[in-house]
Amino acid sequence: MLTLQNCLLLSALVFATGVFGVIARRNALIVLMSVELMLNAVNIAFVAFARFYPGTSQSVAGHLEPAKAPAGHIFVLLTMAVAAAEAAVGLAIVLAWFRNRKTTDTEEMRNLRW
Amino acid sequence: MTLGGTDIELFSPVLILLGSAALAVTADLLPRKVERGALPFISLGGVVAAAIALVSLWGRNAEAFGGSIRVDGLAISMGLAACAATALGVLMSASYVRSAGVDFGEYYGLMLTSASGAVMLAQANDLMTVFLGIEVMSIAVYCLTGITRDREKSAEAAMKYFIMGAFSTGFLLFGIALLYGAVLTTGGADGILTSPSQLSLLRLDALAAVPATSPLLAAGLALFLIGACFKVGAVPFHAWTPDAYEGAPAPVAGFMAGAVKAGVFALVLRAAMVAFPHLAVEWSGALALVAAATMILGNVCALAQTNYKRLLAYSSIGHTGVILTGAVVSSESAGAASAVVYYAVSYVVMTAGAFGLVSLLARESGELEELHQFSGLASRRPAAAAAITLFMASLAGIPPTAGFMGKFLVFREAVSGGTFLWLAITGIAASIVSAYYYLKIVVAMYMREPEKGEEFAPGPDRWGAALGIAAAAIATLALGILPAKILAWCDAAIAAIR
Repeated sequence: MLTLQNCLLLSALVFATGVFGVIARRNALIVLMSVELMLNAVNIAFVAFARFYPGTSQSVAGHLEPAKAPAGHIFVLLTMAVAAAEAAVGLAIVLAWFRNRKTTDTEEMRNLRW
Repeated sequence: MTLGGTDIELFSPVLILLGSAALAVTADLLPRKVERGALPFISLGGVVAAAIALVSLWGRNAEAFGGSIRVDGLAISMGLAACAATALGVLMSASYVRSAGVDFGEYYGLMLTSASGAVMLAQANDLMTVFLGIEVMSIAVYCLTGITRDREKSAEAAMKYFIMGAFSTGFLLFGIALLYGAVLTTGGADGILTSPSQLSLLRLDALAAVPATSPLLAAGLALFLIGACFKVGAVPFHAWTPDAYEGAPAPVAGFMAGAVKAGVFALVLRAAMVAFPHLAVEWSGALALVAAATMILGNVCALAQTNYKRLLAYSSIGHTGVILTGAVVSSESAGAASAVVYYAVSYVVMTAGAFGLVSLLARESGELEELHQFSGLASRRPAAAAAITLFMASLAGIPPTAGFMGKFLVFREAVSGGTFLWLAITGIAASIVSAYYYLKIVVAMYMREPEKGEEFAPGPDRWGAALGIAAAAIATLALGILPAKILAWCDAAIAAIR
């Protein structure tokens, strides 16, 4: 059933998967993918809210009608653009680190430790 | 919504910073290469122009772009704090980056882009602008942290900072989505669902009309606060801070400590006053625990540090705790919010100065950053040692410095408010502990003999760092000796919002 609750449940599950991936996985690339998963989970939530509460705008005749550009959809586009920028920078940083250490294992990051 | 000259005018500080960032990057690409020595001047010009634009907007209290940004005293004062951090960062970088081999236009471009994000964040009045400001600011700083990419430490710091930063962005964004849902499902303020602009659903003040009992609002606020705590490095979300500050080039560390905190604390204050006044008891209670833990853990961990930059990172965690204390107390006393602004400005100048000394003393072989290397500095470089002493005194909160006035103002508000008296006592105790590790450095400089072979040879022309440190030192003293005028400005800045 496509209800708001189910959509939010899906979003929370995907988000939790992403959080788990960031915390538990040791490969930097998988960590990056998990971060993307978290952002996409948020997109699901945004679209769900915008779909089930489309908002209304006052038409000329005074009737309420569904708005044509809900904020949630706009936010999703913005999030995707920002996530792309973040992924580009993230991959570049992983590459810079890989050139130094020849590994993508995050357990190997132990130069800086208190 | 239509775009007009007023929108552009109110947004001009951000546009100027972005424009000078583009200028710095393209100047390096021109066929007849502009002398790279000109890049710091271009950047400095851009920052000064943005600061002038901010000052000229003083007293306007207007909204632009359909309410997406709001230019008021808080936006201007925190924007100026971010500009000060950027100007000092550019000065400290001027000669440092040349010896590190990263003196290309992108370095300054990234710093200015990040500053534009911080200023945008200070102005942000809806959730979309909040997100955009935080991301523009953070993504540029991730790059800057790892810009000396051949140094393994720098690459590792960038990696850790990026992972933790992107992780926290996820939380913040999920919080924003839930807050958006809270406005939609409860209808928010009267007429907001029928407003001609859908974007007004995302306005911060729309959240104040959502009933405090809404579970979406509570969950959204919690995730939002977790995201913000990550960005400023508050316990228990602080783990990235020492690594990022130690691995980043010294001028970048000074810049990000100041500018990022100024931007995010502007957001925290604005959200506290505009978006969540009806949940004040809940968020201030939760944040009070975070603030206490942050002050204690930051200062206690700093005791054990042997690396100057890492010590400053833990010290910055401790200072974050004090600023958070101010934000917590602002839920019950108006004066606390202006104390936060005062503290943020003080923190920017003293931290930029303290990290600036690393840029000044950096040698060809690398940074001077282990504490034992500072032994006997006073006999060879008396001026540098005196400057370090001043900044350490200010960070420890010893009068007559900026740090003392800042702490005094925050804790005075906490004591007079009453509810958070325990927080003030915790903070004062933590400050007393902190004096030990700050003074340890001073003792090493003045009372020990230099290590064998340590000449403290000055690096090639360090005029930029020297100038930046002088400016930071003057500001640190001025804020400590003549606080009345500046405090009056801070009060005026906050008064417009309430």
